[in-house]
Amino acid sequence: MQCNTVALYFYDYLKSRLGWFKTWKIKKHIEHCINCQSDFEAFKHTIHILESERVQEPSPHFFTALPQQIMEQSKASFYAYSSSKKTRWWAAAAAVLVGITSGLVLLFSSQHYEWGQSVLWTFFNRDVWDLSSFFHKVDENKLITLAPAIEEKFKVILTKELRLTDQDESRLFPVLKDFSYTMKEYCYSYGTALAALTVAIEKEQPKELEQCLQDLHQIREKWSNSRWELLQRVRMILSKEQFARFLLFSERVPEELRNIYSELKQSKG
Amino acid sequence: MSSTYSQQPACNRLVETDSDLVQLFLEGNRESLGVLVERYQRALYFLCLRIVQNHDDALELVQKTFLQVLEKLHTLQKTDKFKTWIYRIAINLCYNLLREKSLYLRVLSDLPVCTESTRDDPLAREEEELLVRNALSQLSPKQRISIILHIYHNLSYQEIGEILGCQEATVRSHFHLGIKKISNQLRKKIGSQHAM
Ligand SMILES: [Zn+2]
Repeated sequence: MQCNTVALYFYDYLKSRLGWFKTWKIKKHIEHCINCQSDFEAFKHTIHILESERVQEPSPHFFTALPQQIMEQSKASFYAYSSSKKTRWWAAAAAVLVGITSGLVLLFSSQHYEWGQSVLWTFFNRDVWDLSSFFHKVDENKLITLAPAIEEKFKVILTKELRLTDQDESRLFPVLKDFSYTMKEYCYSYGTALAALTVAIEKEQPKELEQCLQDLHQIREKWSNSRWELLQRVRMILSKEQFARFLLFSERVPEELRNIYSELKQSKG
Repeated sequence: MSSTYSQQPACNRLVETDSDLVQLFLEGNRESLGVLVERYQRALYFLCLRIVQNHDDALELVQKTFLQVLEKLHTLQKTDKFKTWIYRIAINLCYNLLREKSLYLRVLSDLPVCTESTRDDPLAREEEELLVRNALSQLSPKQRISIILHIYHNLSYQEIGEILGCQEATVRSHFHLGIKKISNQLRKKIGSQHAM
């Protein structure tokens, strides 16, 4: 064994965490190597000091109070979080569809027309606004109760529109669901950045405005990357025809969602 | 100890894995979050304290960590990785704070080093402790975290690798190099005192 390798196992050796053979080899090496002997002594000493270091204990009250405090905090946000995991993925999936469309329209259109950057972002923002306006107009509590039903309906419609087989479904839905986590974070950060932008405009703060614009740009860029990744995954699952239907359907996603929502709201009071 | 979430039988709270508790929480059981907080708060406090070296900051960081957990728990894909996940959150928060406070590259000379000992004495124990603590704070974040998590939190190299996003062998080497640097600082100090 070389000195460098031996040294990597000093701690395990010191704590008797090695097998007998390795222990024996290291023991032998240290016995015969003056450098390692002195290194090991120094190592032991350092570990000893580190281990005996005393640190300040917080007041016992802190540890009694914290679990309660965090649970209280969770009360406020609980519904949002639990529903976001279990039921909101369809919303994210919807947004994904919209995103995919914008990406593809750009891809295809660029072969025929010269779409400028401004057109790109106008298009993109329209989709975001469509979806955010959908979310803002609905009653949050109602949405949570209706969410599982909406998800089911949305799946049914998507399955019908794309003519998905059971196998397609079992491959496509998990991919969309998986992506929905990224999407949710995106929606959240985008919303926050827009809110900050509004404030910066209202208060006429040029510095903040600049920062907000930069943030928005970064968020879009990140989103655009994840969207393309997803796009590739979905393209592997769907046939060309299904993919085309996917694009057409995604054009009407906010509308579909709104319809499903109001339909269910009426039927369930 | 009586707290409102202890209606659950005590044995359950012990046998339930982190993963079970996370699942329960996501299914609507808020008590399970309380159990997770109880389970990790002390460890996280000492972890944060060792990184930021300030009692009040450490307390605040523990709170912040759990608030982030609350916010992001639904994004945790592998619930059996809760432990490494929560450690990572805490560590990131610690380093954010250090960056904010510009303590990230604190230099040894800025810190008070005890000079009580006479030329014939070996380094006094307190002085050694201070020196080791300062040397620890000067290591690269990965070396420092490897040492703190391995020595004080008994985390395996593999678990630390998950937190730092590197291989087990790399963690082993971070750990070893970190200790070696501290040892060298100690040796140097002792050497310079003997030379006086
Ligand atoms: Zn050697």
